[in-house]
Amino acid sequence: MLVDTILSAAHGIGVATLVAISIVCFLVVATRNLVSTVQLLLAARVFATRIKPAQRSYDLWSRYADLALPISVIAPCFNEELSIADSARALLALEYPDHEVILVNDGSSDGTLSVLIEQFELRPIEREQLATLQKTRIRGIYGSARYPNLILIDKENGRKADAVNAGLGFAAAPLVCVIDADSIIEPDGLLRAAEPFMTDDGSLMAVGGAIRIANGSIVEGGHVRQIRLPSRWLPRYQILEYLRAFLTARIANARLDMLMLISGAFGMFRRAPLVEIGGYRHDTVGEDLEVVTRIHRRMREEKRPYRIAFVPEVVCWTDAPESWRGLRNQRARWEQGALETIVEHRRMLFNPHYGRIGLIGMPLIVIEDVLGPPCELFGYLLIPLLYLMGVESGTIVLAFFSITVLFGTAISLGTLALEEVQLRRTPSARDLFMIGIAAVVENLGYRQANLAFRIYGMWRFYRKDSRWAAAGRAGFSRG
Amino acid sequence: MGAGENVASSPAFRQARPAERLAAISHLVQLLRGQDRDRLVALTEEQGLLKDALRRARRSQPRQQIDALRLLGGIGGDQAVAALDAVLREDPRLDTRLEAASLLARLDALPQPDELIEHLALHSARITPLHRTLFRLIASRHPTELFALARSEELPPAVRALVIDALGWTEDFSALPILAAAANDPHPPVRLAALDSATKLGHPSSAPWIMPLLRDPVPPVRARAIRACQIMRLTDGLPAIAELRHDPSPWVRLRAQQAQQVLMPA
Repeated sequence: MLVDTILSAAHGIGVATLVAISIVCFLVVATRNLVSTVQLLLAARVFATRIKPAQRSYDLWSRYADLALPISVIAPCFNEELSIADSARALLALEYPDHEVILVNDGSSDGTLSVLIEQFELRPIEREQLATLQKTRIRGIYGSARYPNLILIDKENGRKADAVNAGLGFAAAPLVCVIDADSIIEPDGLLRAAEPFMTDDGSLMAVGGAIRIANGSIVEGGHVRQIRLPSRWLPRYQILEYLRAFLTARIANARLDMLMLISGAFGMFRRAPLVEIGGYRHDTVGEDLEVVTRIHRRMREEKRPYRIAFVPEVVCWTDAPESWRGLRNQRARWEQGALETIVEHRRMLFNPHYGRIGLIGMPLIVIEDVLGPPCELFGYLLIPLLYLMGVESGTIVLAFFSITVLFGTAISLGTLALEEVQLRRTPSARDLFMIGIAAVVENLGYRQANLAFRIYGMWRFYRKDSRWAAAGRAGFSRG
Repeated sequence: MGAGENVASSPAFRQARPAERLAAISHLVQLLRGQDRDRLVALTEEQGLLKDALRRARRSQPRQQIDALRLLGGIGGDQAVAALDAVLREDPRLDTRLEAASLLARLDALPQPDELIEHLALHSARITPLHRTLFRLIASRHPTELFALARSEELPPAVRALVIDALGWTEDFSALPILAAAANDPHPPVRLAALDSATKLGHPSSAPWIMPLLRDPVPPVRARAIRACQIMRLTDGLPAIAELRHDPSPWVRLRAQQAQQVLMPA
């Protein structure tokens, strides 16, 4: 009798706990969707009312090249012997009156160094290091009489953050553009990204640009010659994700002065504050999120006026993973990086001292990256389970799947419409239609797999696993 | 028959709505120069195609206003210049006035430098690269007024630096005595501007006052003096530059290193 009572009570408590968890999951997912909706509406308003970037720099800088703030383009490279020469040529050919390209060979074990030395007639040079931010040893510095604005730094392997820091230490320009050597910035990308600095009073710290997926597009000589939709579905889903991230979330967050992330694939920074905060951190796999968070933190702690902007017209192309394993590694790394940043800067969370960054920006990361993935994944499992147990009504199940699947699809289609109306980068109506199909289909497996990858990232964070898991990119289609 | 008449007499142009005509003209005008361009702009004004843009340039939401200003700046002509000038003088928003100024600069129709200082509130605003660009454009259009301003002692240091910087772009060597005096200014931005201006003029008679700036107490001035020596090929400065390889500032050391690589015989 007593045992029955205990079992019954335990069953009741267990069910109540499951119901409570399911309610929490429901609320978290609903909040995420609410945030996404607000971001989409705000981004639409920004596009409708914003003053478009001026063309004046194009005209005026062509006449007064010395007034264009010089830019050091820092491109770390690791084992890229097949593509590095094209990438370097594309960076040297960027339209800008005064830029130097600093390639940092991060201890490549292939022929990256020898290819560069041979193709660009590089020879060892003396070059003053303005700041020592890297942890590893610099093995050599190379310059070229033929390409006077090209510098190659050869160093021991220390991962991307260390390589960027090495480049930053040698950068002599007031602006630095940090770019992945295997990414492709459009020829006018530097001009567009530097334009906001032309009229800035010194408070603009950084400018981010939109990252787009080049899988399937024709790449020639380090430039995207023809934009095409990838033939495989996995990168198509990622096209949607990037559109959501860059055309809604970043634009809305930048408008609210709480842009928390400038993608590691492309970002323009004022050099001085970046050096002042010590450059990128070496002990995180999410160094791009961390560095922007640290800029916010430093500026707010010192009560200095500052801005971090986003220019959607600046486009940088990257290749997305085409295998599930590569995608898992990438998403797990992003998740791990977000958690490391939150833990490192937990003092900022809900702290009014950090203004909207502490009160809104950081909590949004918590909802998106800490609570969101497990809650949504558990929701998919728990809510049908409770329905089968007869605890929850079919209405609740329908409501949960509506706010995840239907809502997610609606947000994606809204973003796609925004992109088509404002930027028009999708090459054809057919491609637009196919991406629209992807917006529906991604909810039937891709979305859930992504959540699982992020849970795996949480596991890696818990295990303090700091190994760099490669995303296994496909490489560009050459023309 | 000029471009204007050709365009106006085409059936497609006559059937098009005013907005479409203006769009076509704003595209065409970028392709034309000289008299052809003038005729096309005159035609645009005669047909009243700028009416809507002129109205929006004075009274509308910021985005529509800026779009209208850019349209006018792209086409040019007397009406457009007058409208842009009016916005520069009267618009309550500083950003809008700055946009109008940069469009007037494209049309080579900037007002005198003292007026620009007033309209862009430069006595209180922070000087940006765009302001420097505008003043360099003024240098060729209003050199006399610029010289007068450069001799004035009432300008705040930042604005004085702006004016001194622009002097180099007058391409008038009579600016050299003013630059030599500016090299002794107590404010580093003015000394930096004097160096930039002298580098632009490139006259060797500046060497006697550039050399002492290699020992200026402010590192950016030393670095800029090295750059001036490098660009003007002032090899007499090499011994001082060699000493600067051991300067406490890494920036100065870097510039000294770069100058040595250029100036020292191979």
